Amino acid sequence: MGLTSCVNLDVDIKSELVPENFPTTEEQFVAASGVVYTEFAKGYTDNYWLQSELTADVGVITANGGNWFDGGIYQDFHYHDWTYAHSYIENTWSWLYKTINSCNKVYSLLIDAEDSDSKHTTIAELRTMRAFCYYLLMDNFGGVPLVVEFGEDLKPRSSRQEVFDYVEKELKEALPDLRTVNDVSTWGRPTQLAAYAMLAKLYLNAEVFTGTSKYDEAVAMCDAVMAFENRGETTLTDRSQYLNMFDYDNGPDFKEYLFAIPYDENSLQSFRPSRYALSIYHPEAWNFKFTVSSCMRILLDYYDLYEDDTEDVRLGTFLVEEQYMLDGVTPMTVTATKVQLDSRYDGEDKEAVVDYHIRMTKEIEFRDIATFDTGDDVVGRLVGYRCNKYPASTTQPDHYHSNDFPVLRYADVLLMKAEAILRGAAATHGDTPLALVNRIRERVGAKTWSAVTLDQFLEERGRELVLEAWRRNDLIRFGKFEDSWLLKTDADVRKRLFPIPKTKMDTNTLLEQNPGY
Amino acid sequence: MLGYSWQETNTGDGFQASNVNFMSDATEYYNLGLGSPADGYNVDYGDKTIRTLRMISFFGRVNCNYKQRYILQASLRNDGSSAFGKNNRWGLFPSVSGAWCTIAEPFMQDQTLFDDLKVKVGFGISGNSMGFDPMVSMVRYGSVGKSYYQGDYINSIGVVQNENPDLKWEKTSMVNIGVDAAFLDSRLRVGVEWYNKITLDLIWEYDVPSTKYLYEKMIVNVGEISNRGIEATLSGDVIDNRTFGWTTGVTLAHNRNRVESLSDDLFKVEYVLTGKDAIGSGQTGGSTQVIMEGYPIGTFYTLKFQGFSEDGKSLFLNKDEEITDSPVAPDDYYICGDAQPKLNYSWSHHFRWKRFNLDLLFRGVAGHKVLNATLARLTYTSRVSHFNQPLYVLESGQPFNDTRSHFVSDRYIEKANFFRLENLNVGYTLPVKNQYLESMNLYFNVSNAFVLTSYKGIDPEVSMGGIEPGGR
Repeated sequence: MGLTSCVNLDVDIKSELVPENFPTTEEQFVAASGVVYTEFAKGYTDNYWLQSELTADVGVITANGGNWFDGGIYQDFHYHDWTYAHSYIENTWSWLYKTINSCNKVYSLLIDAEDSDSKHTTIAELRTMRAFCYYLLMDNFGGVPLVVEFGEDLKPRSSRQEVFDYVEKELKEALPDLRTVNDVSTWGRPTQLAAYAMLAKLYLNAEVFTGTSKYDEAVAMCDAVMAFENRGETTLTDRSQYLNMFDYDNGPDFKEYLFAIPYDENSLQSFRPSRYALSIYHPEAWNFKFTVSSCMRILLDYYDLYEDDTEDVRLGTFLVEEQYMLDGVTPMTVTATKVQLDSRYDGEDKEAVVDYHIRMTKEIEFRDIATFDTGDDVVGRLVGYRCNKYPASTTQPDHYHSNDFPVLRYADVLLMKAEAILRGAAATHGDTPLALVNRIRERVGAKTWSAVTLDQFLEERGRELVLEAWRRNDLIRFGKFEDSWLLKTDADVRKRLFPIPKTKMDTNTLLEQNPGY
Repeated sequence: MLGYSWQETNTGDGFQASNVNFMSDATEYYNLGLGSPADGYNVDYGDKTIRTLRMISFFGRVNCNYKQRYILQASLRNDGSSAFGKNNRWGLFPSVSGAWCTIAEPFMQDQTLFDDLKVKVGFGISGNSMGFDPMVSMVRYGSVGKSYYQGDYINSIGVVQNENPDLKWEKTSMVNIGVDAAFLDSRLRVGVEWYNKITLDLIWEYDVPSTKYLYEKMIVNVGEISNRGIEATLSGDVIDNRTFGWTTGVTLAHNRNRVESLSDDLFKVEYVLTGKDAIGSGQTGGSTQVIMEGYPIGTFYTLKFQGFSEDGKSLFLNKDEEITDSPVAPDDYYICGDAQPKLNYSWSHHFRWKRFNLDLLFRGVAGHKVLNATLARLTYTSRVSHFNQPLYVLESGQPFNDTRSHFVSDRYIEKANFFRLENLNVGYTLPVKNQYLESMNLYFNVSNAFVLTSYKGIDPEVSMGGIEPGGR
């Protein structure tokens, strides 16, 4: 026993994971970076996703006898009447910065580990996630503080151009170390396909974000993704499988997904689309174990986008008119008195009991516009068509879904390339906008076009990417975010940017608010 | 004298497993494989992990004595504990004390008043490293949720404890000054001592911003508590002759405890709510005590009772000083006294008559309060159809529809002064003495013969340790 052991107070640590023994293997790197993806998953759906679709012309969440009025937050989204105290807007900012903080934190822990391929790949994936979070921040708020190192002090906002440049640089630098396969081994984490698609989005929107258009660069990025199609890493899912691609058991087999969030009813909860898609009568009729009090009603004009084509497979995602039980034949009914069906009914027989065949009406009729209320009776709750793109399963114990969410899809890439060429980029590989958009239309069984204009592009993106959290971004790019729909008439261009949340302005006095708030 | 000590303590060294559905209990836990659990049974591996604490000390002491008149003792300890951060594992703790036997001085030889006179002074710093997990200063990883990997959901691993390489020994420094004297042929003996104790660098958990630290809480040395007081003893041989003797003595002690500080520049907390275990049903999230700067440990922080309303409901004061029957915790809490006593005292007697002896020890505490939480919980008048109520409820005529009669409030904080005959001993020394037996004493002893108190509970002497004294 040497003299140094007489004063040695370093005890062996046998039961804990500490920097000396963690992380060292590929699996450990994956586990250490897992927090980033968990954080990202928690806010993308049921917060950001709704924020994108409700501020756009997709749908509206109305109240039923006060239920779902929630202080007017959905009403504000519809009217473009939000303030810097809006809870969804605050949650979006908090969620994105929390994910960025996780990226920075894990980065600081991993950067000192021994060099290995796993380390390089994991770090590249972290940088890609962080860049994508800044892309979303830039899209929604404009210039934001660029916090890129863990433990940094509070900073003022960088300009939108600076954030744009940062996102571009980070994605480009991360690309070489990202994985090049798109299968179960990379599902849920960004690959080169995802990074190229993110760059394509960045360049396509460059004119909106920075004033300088970059359509040629957008086409180049789309081509990079399309090269993977030839290698079998991505594809357009067949028409027969189209609806299954969004179903509860979707997964890595659907190579059309370039970047997915792998939600799970038990292990990765946050996604509850049935809450917004089904009526209160559906869960029991269709044997679901949860209940809903439903409310996102698709706007009539939006549904009319599909009207030309009865063969369009995408129509299958909507719940319209009369509803049926699982066999498709037996009517779904509810037994009630006539006045319970419609509280405005005033006939002599209003207490007569009838079996009402559940019917979603196309028209969204408001009983009280001031409280955004469509009524609390049976008819009032069934107002408006619904989009049930992400069906539930009969085995899920609660209203959390297992459907994996498509953040970026190959169909989006093809549409982006076509749009970029139409906006002035040079066509490459002999692809014309018409050919590309017809690929998308043919796949779903819609009639192919013989010519295409830019406005038709907005419509096609609306049909294809409904409820995938890109509608607001698309409307802004086409200059239509200020149009009127249903009850909205606000045309303030400054609403393209959300306000910096009040609580964040309070904690960081260096922040300056966006104009108009 | 010089010394060295090395000690290592391992707790939680072992592992745990569980199984169900045993055909027979005969093999007990010696053959866990005999169980037949259903598919998907999750073995309970427990959450105890091995904790190692190692302490090493070097110490030395020096004693000096000059002419039996001036006495000095000094000691120094260098203590190290593996529990602290790697920058601060060792702590140096000196102490020095001296005594001046004034009675032995030449100028005291001619006086007759004092039979003994001694002045004592002491100063020392000691350290504390107990009471917390020995792993507390290191960065630790743990499971923070699940994420998808290759078709399965695996545990994401993240930081669950911040590193604090500067975590150090809690220190208590104490100064004490005292005088001992004796008069009347040493039949009257008096001693007085004054002390001032400050405990610094108390270890506690604080919130930290999650953008600057890997985890949102951190364990650091911040707090400061002071204890200041006086102790006096007096004893006298009142009667002392061959057949009968009577000695009596009194000790008095007064201590003032105060929380001096809970925050510093970096880590701040305004107050800490404690005493949550004393809360009963219908008061989830409530607490009964508080640790706050400027107040002692054991300060009661709870609702202020204001009597009953006309329809029989308990009334309380809310934060705007209005009467309410549905108080909100902790907004409507007020400071309601504390559990620290003003005086601890004892009074002893020793009677000697021929071969008999009688010893009495009285002990008492005064000036403190105790929360009678048991009484609160039992005074649940609206549930009289479910369980028994204390007798006083019937006699007091309290209403029976009061759904908040059991809410902890200053109604149940009682004065806990008591005076107790702690020990009574009567004995007889037998007149035997032979080659086998040196002496033999037969005695009859009573402990806790009686206690005088106004406290309604079983015994006013409740646990006074830790950070939640006096709340039962």
